[in-house]
Amino acid sequence: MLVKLAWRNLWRNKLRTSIMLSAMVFGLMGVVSMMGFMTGMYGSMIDNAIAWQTSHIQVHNSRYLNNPDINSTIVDSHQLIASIEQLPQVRALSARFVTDGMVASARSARGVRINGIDLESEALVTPLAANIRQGEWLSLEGRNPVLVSNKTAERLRLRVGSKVVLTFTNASGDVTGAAFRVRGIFKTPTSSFDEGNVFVRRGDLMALAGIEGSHEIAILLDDEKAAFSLRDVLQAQTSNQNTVRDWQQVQPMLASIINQMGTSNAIMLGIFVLALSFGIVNIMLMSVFERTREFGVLMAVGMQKYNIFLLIMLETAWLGITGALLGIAGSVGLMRLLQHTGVSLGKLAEGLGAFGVDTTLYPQVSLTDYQMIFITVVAASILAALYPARQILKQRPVDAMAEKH
Amino acid sequence: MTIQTNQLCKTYNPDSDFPVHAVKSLDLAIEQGEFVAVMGPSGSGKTTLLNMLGGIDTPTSGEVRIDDCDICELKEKELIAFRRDHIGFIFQDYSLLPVLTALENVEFVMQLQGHSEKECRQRASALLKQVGLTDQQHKTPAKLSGGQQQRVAVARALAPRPRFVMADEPTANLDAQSTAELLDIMQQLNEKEGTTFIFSTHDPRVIKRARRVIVFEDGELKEDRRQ
Amino acid sequence: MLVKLAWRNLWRQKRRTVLTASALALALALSLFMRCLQEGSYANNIENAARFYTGLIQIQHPEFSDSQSIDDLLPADSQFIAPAKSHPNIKRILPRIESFALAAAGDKSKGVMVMGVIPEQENDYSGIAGKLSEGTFLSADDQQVLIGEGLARFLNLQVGDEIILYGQGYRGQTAAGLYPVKGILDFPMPQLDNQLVYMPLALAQTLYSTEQQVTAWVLHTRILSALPQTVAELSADYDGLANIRDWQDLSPEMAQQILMDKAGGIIMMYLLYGVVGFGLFATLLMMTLERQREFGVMLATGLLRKKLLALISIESLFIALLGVVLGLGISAPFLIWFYYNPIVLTGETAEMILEMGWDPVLPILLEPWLFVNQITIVLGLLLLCLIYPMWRVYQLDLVSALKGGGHAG
Repeated sequence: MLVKLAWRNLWRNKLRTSIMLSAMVFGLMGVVSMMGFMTGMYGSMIDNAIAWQTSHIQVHNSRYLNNPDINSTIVDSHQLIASIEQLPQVRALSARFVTDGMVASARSARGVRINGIDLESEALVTPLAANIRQGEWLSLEGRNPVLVSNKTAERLRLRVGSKVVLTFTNASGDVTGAAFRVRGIFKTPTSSFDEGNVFVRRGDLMALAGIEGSHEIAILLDDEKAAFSLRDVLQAQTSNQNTVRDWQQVQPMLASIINQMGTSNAIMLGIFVLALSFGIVNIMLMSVFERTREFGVLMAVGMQKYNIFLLIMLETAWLGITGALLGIAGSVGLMRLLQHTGVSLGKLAEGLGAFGVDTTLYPQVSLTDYQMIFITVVAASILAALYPARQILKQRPVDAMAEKH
Repeated sequence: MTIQTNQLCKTYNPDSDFPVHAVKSLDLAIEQGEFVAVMGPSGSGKTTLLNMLGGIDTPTSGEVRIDDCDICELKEKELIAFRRDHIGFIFQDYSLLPVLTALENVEFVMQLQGHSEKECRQRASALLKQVGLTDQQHKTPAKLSGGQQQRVAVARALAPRPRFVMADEPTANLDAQSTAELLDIMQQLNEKEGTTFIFSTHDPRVIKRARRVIVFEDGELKEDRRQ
Repeated sequence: MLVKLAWRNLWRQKRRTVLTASALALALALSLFMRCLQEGSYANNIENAARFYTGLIQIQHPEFSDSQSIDDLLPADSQFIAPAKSHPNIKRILPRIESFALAAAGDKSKGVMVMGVIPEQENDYSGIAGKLSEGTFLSADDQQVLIGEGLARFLNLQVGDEIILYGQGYRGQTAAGLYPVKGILDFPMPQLDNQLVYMPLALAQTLYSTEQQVTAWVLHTRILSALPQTVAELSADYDGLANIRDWQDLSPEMAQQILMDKAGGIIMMYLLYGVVGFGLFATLLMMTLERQREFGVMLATGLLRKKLLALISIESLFIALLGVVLGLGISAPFLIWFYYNPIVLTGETAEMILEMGWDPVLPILLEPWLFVNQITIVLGLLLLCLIYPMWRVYQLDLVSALKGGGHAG
């Protein structure tokens, strides 16, 4: 009965209630958009990092992690690769021979990481093979082919077929190098990655280095979440001179981002809800004071004060619930639309490209987010109702009834 | 059921330079079934008296006993419950809940008492029939005339079967026709059900119908006559 | 008279006034704090990037921005730099050689960036000597180098060890040299800290065989806001001979990141004001509608409608001003405290920010325009919320107001 009365009371002043609900819808749609945007952006960053850079699990020689010496290759790598291939959760793996060096053209030079890859397996682990913008993927034919990024190509004035010299320190500690020809030009979503990496055939690089083996094994799984448990399994299966790391350990920043996201979302919601609460308190106070006489009458005919208190709380709860539902409905609609069309980042794409965010953003909002929003808004409304509702408890019926509004 | 006052007194601003003695040491007794009009000019204190009799206001001194229960001693919660069960109120401005229909308004106090939905509905419909508003039972107060609203108020006051009904200037905002109709209804209910009616009024039409008239002036009982 | 009346009217409904003003105050305080923090952070990062790396303006060979090649150089003589020197807004001029090399030590190698500078001048500009974590600073004729901490760790080098630099010099000549490490720098720009070799200009010119040429002239202005104009003027002076680039052009990624962060913050701010604005609108509207009878009486007794509108405006203005004063009052102590004690981030957050290439410090910028900006927004909001209520009062029908009155909605 009180519930029904509360609902009807809410609509006594249609204008006021509508304004309040509009505020909630406006605010919620805005907050959800921002949350979706951030989640989408960071999600993109993480997905790209996993796809292109970290994969799900990486294995290195433990010494290599402290001191990337070309001699610190993975211990018993063949055995390890065999056991990895046995695991059902593994989708693909790639063993790389890596060294830091320099790439130089007639025009200019750049410090880069030289990645010696196995052509077949690398194509399965990263999307590199499918993202060659000019020229083609590496093949077994030809002498010393290399893949460079379009950024590197720009800097060094390279085209497909251009000659470059790759220099680095070999296993004996001598600076060595050789001429390579650009076979293809690639572009990844992360421009900072592009700038710093070139790709050659393992065999070619090992021949120059004078040492065999792998410095890095990158593993791609079917399920992202399996990375953490699988890491331990693998570590147990291999020598303790090797270190197996999951993608969050490889790039701790990714883990930080995930943690941070929850916090910043909560803060945004909190601020919005706080501002909203002021509005709700104000509106409900107006509503309560307008009805002082009516409350006096209610007390006179026999309605207990705590019931009137409850009535006001229910009215505010209805306000919160209605606003939250409308706001969420609006947000869902907006998100559906944006997820369909995507948000093009246009000019800002370069800045974000440094982090690996795609140029078209698809906002993401999870069910948990919506739930959190709903609960927070309703809870805040109820809290906001306390102050106005308290006002009624202090009144004596006779005084209440004497009030001419 | 008897209402009795002993040296009932109400003073506003007792400590200031200009205290207002609204009711000065009143002794009064009202029996079950009476149809009483408390009459007097504005400011005579009759509203204050009625408020104290109904437990809405507390006296400065003296007591109000209803069936030997000193209602001034009751705690707020008990007092509210007492009013709910035993006293009906009719106000000058009808004071119906604007968001409820006539029927829902009448049911209201019965629902507070905890009666079943069916019971409430039945009695409310019956009462509305008695006051001649069956066709209007689903309308909200905004759609009813003053007279109609006051009739709903009467039905509401009677629905929880109170022992007595207090009406503060019930006809003040009504035209002659509505006043006559209203008084008819109230007299009927008084005679049929035996409910005690206590009015405060300065409407001569009401005073003519009352069986007992108490004249109040400057907070004092000037006359108490039966007619 | 109107002002006095307006002020008193405000306090008839004390609670409502206070609540509305408080909501405004909250929005203002939060927004102001956030913007000061943001702008402080940007200014700090721009400052760092400028002082330690790009400067505010660079004069470069027209092809250099694309090629980054050691072949695209500028003369290092005073005749060339004269137009810049004589420009009133240019405070500092620093010649530099910046190029790549392969650094090797022991059996490790890494691509590094070599910065050839005039040490005393650079130190004057950026205080780089203060960033030395080990060793001593360079002098102009040293045959030694300074390296970044990250690089030192990677190559396992300490003060006194030697580093080999190997690269491509001017017009195809080989650049090669062996240099002792004189000191290790904690370079404030993390992404450079891992690959920086700092050496005297003369030494760099020898390494790359450039003779009396430089890759860039780095400039700093007196007045930051006059930067675009200065760039335009210098471009005219050096038309064809050289490319004039400002810091945004040199670090487009940083410029865009700043832009994006700013955009995000501003959207959040408008959202906040929007929500509060609805509340303000509701309050003003209710206030107006409730007092229709009162307004009717005022108009009937001879108050000009124009003056009534003015009265309402003044009342609303007072509420807004109250909110502003309250908001400033709340935020001022925080702003001042954090101005003198900037927040230093630690732990995971700090790591993340360092990875992104930003300084993990949150300094506050206190400048008038930030405050004026916020106050303007509040006043603008107020104006927006007043439109409808004022229109209602303007349209107020005297008779129905006197009759009806007190009826909101």
